[in-house]
Amino acid sequence: MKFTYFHLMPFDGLPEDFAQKHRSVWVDIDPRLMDVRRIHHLYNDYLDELEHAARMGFDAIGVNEHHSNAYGLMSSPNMMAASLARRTADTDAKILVMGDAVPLYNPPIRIAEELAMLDVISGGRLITGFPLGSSQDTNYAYGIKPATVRERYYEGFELILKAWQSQEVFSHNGRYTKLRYVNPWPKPLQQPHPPIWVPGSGSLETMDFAIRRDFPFFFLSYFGTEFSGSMLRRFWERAEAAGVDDNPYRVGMFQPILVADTDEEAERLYADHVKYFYRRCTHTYPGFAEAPGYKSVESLRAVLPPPGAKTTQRPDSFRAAKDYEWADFVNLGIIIAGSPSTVREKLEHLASTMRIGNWIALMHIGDMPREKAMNNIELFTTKVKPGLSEVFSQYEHNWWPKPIPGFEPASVAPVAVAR
Amino acid sequence: MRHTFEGPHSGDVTVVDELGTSTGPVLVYLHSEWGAFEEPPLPGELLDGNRVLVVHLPGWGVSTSVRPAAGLPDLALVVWWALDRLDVGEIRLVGHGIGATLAAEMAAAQPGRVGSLALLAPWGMFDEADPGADMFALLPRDLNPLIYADPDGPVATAQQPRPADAHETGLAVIRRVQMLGTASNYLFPIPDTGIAERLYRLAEVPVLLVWGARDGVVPPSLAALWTGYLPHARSEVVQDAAHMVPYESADARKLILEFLA
Repeated sequence: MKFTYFHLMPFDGLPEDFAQKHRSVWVDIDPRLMDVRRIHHLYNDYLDELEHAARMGFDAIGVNEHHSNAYGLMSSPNMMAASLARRTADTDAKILVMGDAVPLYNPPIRIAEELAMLDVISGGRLITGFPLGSSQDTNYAYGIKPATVRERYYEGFELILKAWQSQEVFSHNGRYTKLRYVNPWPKPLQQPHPPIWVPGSGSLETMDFAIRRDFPFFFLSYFGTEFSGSMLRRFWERAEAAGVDDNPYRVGMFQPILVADTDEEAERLYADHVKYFYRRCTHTYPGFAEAPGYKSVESLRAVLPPPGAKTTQRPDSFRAAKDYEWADFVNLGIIIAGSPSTVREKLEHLASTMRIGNWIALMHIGDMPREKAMNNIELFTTKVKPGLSEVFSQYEHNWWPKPIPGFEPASVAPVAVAR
Repeated sequence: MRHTFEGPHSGDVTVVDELGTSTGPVLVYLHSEWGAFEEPPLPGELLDGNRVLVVHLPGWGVSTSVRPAAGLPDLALVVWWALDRLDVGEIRLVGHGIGATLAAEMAAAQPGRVGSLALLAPWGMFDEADPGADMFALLPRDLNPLIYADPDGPVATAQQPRPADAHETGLAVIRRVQMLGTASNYLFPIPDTGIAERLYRLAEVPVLLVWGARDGVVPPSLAALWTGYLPHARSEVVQDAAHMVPYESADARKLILEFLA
């Protein structure tokens, strides 16, 4: 299995009564809550953590993209990845950019250009994730018309792939982008292109797109693997129906993972930070969840409750999670937390039952201070990861950066991370 | 009587309902972003000897379109296309909400065919100083008090029922997404449709503008912007009504009928 140390880069200064006094952590969060002096330190702490994770043996380190959001301070994942590319040049850690949300960029060749730059700078260590983009980011923060988001995604996606691979200058006459000359300089070091992972949050269209195009599907949910099991089962059913193989590296899973010396110590160390995340960071005004038109009427019909069904609050909802205590988060599988053996057993069990080859591990959560994140990284890489890396080793990971024949990377001075 | 036309593009279906049997002057009604309601006081009250045609706007469910029009000027051409199939010459136009904006676009496209134009709470202009609430980012419980003067009254509960059953709730959500999702193609993220630049074409068309005093999404203060471009227009604000003004206010309906007469 492959493990990516993934960061959301949350703001840690939301007040305790945030959910009572404020409408939303995302889109229209009160700018007066912002403390940019504090964010200066957070950015540097978080980059230190990512660099430390690379040095401690994570297979990859990952960044993502959000806008107008206090739990995700990375409006530009590429900027963070550029810094990491240089500062982890002495490691073999790959760099996962789980942006760039394609519909947000016009022309989308900006993505082709910047990701190609990252791939070249990092010596071919880039893994790209092309998200559709949430409604909060695409519609409300960036003003994209809801019903056009998916069309823009498909058009931009194809344009980027062609721009990376074409040996000729070409014209693009799309519905959303018109370019007489497409000719990015440079193209990626990895040919024909860096690995592409497709993240989704439950839409069948996204799963089918990944299956059809032979890209791995990454399920992004804050509610853990157990809640997400039905989605992954659906993915494997659709993959089988489409006639593709059952290589576990076709699937990735986002999962909060918190390791301590004992199960009790995990609660003592991390409970407050988990609650900070699920009580404050996920407090989003429901009106921003999905702009009308973002999801098709057909998709909504597919999840229509049967006649006579009572209205119930789903357990995998942020509203429900606000009332959870540590035991609920653990028992419901929203987080995987505990001693190294507890964490390893749970990961092994979930990986084997759901065929998950890639883990996007969220190991800094909420307002966790730097030293706890560093500790979590060290415990995981020294006491959990060994052994797990061999799981599924009989399968070829077809979507992982490969050594580039005859390529000699530049020599970059190593950088020590101060603890 | 229902007229169903295949087109204008391959795969599209455009539907026009003809109310009553009158062969009198033609009156065309364009519904709001919330779609055509089955038993509204309008447009039935408009019959009054008129041949009333209710156009189901493409994409709002009854009329379907394979893809949204590029903008309201293009959508206006689709509506004219449908009316041409009914051998309609000069018309009087009444529109509500986005239907009002579309009616103004139709008049701008063919001013010589529009005898009079009544615009009820029209979208299309935007004032940063008084922007109105973002209709596309509000839950029904927060939006309804801004579009209905009485959010618990009979008009609101008839138009937006609140079922207890999860299945019925889901169907209501789907209907809402169909309506507002289509409207978002033209009004999102800022409902400035560019109509102002084409209003010079309406110099010879009699225009009535009607606002509900409590409209929280298309503020009545926008009337001043509209009359700035249409100095010959008559502008009225009726009390005890919000955005759903033609359904909520008998005074508004009376104003329209008098104007059309």
